[in-house]
Amino acid sequence: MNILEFQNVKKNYWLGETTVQALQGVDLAVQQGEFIAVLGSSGSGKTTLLNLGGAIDDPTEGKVIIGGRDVSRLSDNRKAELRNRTIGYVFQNFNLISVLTALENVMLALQIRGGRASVIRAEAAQRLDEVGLADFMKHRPDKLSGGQRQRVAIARALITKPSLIFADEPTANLDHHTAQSIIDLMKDLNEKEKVTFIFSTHDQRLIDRVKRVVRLEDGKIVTSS
Amino acid sequence: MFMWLTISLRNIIKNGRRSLTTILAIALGFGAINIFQGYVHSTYEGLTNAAIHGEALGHLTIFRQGFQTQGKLHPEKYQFTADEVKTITDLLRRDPGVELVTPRLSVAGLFSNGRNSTIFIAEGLVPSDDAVIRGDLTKYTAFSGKFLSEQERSSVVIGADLASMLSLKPGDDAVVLSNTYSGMANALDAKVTGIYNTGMAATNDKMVLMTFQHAQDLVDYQGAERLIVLLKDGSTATSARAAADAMQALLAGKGFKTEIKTWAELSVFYKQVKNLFDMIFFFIFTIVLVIVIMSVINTMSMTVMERTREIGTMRSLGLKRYGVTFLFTTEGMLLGLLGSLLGAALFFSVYAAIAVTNPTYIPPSSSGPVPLRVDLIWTALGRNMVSMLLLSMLAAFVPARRSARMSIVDALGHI
Repeated sequence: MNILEFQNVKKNYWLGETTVQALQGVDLAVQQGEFIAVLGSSGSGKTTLLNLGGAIDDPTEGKVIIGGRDVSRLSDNRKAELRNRTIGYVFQNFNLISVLTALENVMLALQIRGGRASVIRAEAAQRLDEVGLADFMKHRPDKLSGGQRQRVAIARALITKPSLIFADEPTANLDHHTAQSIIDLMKDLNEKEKVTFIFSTHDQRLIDRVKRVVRLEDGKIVTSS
Repeated sequence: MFMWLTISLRNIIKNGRRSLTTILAIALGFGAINIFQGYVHSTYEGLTNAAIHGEALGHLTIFRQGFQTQGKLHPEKYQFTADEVKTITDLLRRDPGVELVTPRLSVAGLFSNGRNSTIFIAEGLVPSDDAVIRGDLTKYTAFSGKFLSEQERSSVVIGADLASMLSLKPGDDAVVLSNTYSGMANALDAKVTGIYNTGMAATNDKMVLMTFQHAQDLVDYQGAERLIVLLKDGSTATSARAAADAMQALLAGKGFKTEIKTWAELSVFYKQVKNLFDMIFFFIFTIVLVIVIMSVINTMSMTVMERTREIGTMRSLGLKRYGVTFLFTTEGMLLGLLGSLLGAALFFSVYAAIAVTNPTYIPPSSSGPVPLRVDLIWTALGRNMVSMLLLSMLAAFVPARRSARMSIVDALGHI
C-alpha cells in the first residue's frame, strides 16, 4: 500500500482578486521507505505539495490519502492527531521553541500526544543522542549552531515514530560541512528505520542522494523518477 | 500540564518588561481592591458597633405598630403600657437567643442652666441595662464625670457642645422642660453627672441621656415608647432581620401588633455610609476590572502575534486548536497569579504600616479623630485572587482563540 497518494490534487490561493493555481491536478504515489526530492523553480508548487502531504493544508480539489485515509474528510482534531502520530516535519528555519531546551523541544511532540513525562524524557534523550547531541540537551536554541538546531528538529520529527517526514529546504541555512552531516543523518535514518523522507530542495548534494526526484513546473509534475 | 506551565512562565520571563507592566497593573489593582475592602470592612465593623453599642440601639427595636408613621405626631397613642412592657419583656426573655430586653423613652424640650436654655433631645434609659448594651462609654467616645445611676433618678449625661454652650460641668444643676403626653408643660430638676462627645456635630449640642424613670416623670407616663432587644447573635443585618421576623410572629401570636426594626434599619448613618462605600467599591472594582482586562488583552495580543510561527509549529506537531487556546490562557492565568501575589504583598505592606503607625483621621460629620484601620479578610483576599485569575484567563482567551483559528500555513509563514 502507498503511504501517501495525491489523486488529481488542485490547490488555489486567493491573493486579493487574483487566483493563484499552486497545484493543477497532481497525481503522485509514494511508498514506504522512499527518499524523495521535490524539485522546481520558485513558485512551482513544491511547498504547497509538502503542505498538502503533511496535512497542514487542504486541497481545493482532489484527494490526499495518507496511510489509506482521505485527509480532506477528516475533522481538524483528527488531522492534528494524524500529524502527531504519522507525520514529522523539518523546517528550513528549524522552528524550534525558543524558551525550551533541546531536550524539551524534542519532547514536545510526545507531550502533545500525552504520556508519562519520565518515559518521554528518556525517549527524547535517546533521540538526541542518536543525532549526536547528547551533550547539548540542556541548551536552548539560541545557544546552538544552525546544524545543531536542525539536528534537534530532526530528532523532534522522529520521536513520534512517524511514517512520513516532510522536510522543506532542510539544508538551505547550513554551511557545507553541516549540510553534509544532516544529509547523511537523514539518509541513515531512512535506511535503518525505513522512514519515508520527502524533501523540497535546491541542494544538489541532497538531490544526488535521493532515490527518486519529482520535478514540478507551474503546479504540475513533469517528471517523477 | 507542566510543559504548558513551563512554556508560559518562561515566555513571561522572556518578555520581562512587558510582563512586568501587566503584572504591576494587576498588582496595583488587586492591592487597591483589598486595601479598600479592608478599610470598608473595618468601617462597617466600627459602624455596626457604634450603632448597636455606641448609639445603644441594641440589635432590635420593638415599636407598637404604626409608631414609625404616626407616633411622632401622636406619641401617646403608640406607647406600650407598663403591663405590656412587663408581659413582652417576660415573653422575650424566655428565648435563649435573647440576652436583654429594656424599655426606652424619647423626650424633647428645653434644657436650661437657670440663665439660658436651648433645645434638647433625650433618651430615657435604664442605666444598668444600658451598661450591658453600651458597656463602658469611654470605649466609644470622650467622657468625663459619672454615668447615669438608678440611685440618682434625676442624673443626666449631656453632649459636650451642649455643656460648653450652657457652661455646665459634672456636678452642676440644670432644668429640663417638656410637654407631657396630655399636653401640659412640665419642668424637672436635673443633675449633670457626666459629659460625653456624641461623635456627631449635629447632636453634640443637644443630646441628653437621662434615667428611664426621669423621662417617665417628665412626660407623665409610666409606659415605654419602645423596647430594645439585645441578642446573643445579631451583629449582621441578616441575622438581626431573621430574628426580628421571628419575634414579630411570636408577639403577633400573643396579640401584640408590633413593628420591629433592626439596628441596620434604624441607624441612618450606617445606612448612608454603607450605601456610599458600596457604590465607591463598585466603581473602584469596575475600574480595576477594566484596567486588568485591557492590560492582559494588550499583552497577550502582542505575545500571540510574536509567537504566530511558534503556534504554527506546534499545530503542525499535532497540537489541537483548543490546545493553543489553553496554552495562552494558561499564560494569562500566570500573569494574573503573579500580579495577585505581588498585589497581596502590597496589601500586607500597607496593612503592616497602618498597624505600626496607627494613623487617625476625622471622617465627615464626626466631631473627633478615629483610627484608620484596614482589616485583613482572608476570604476576601482568596475570592479576589480567584477573580483576578479568572479575569486574566478570560482576557487572554480572546486573542488566544483568534490565534488558534489561524491556518497552519499562514502561521508558519508569519514573520
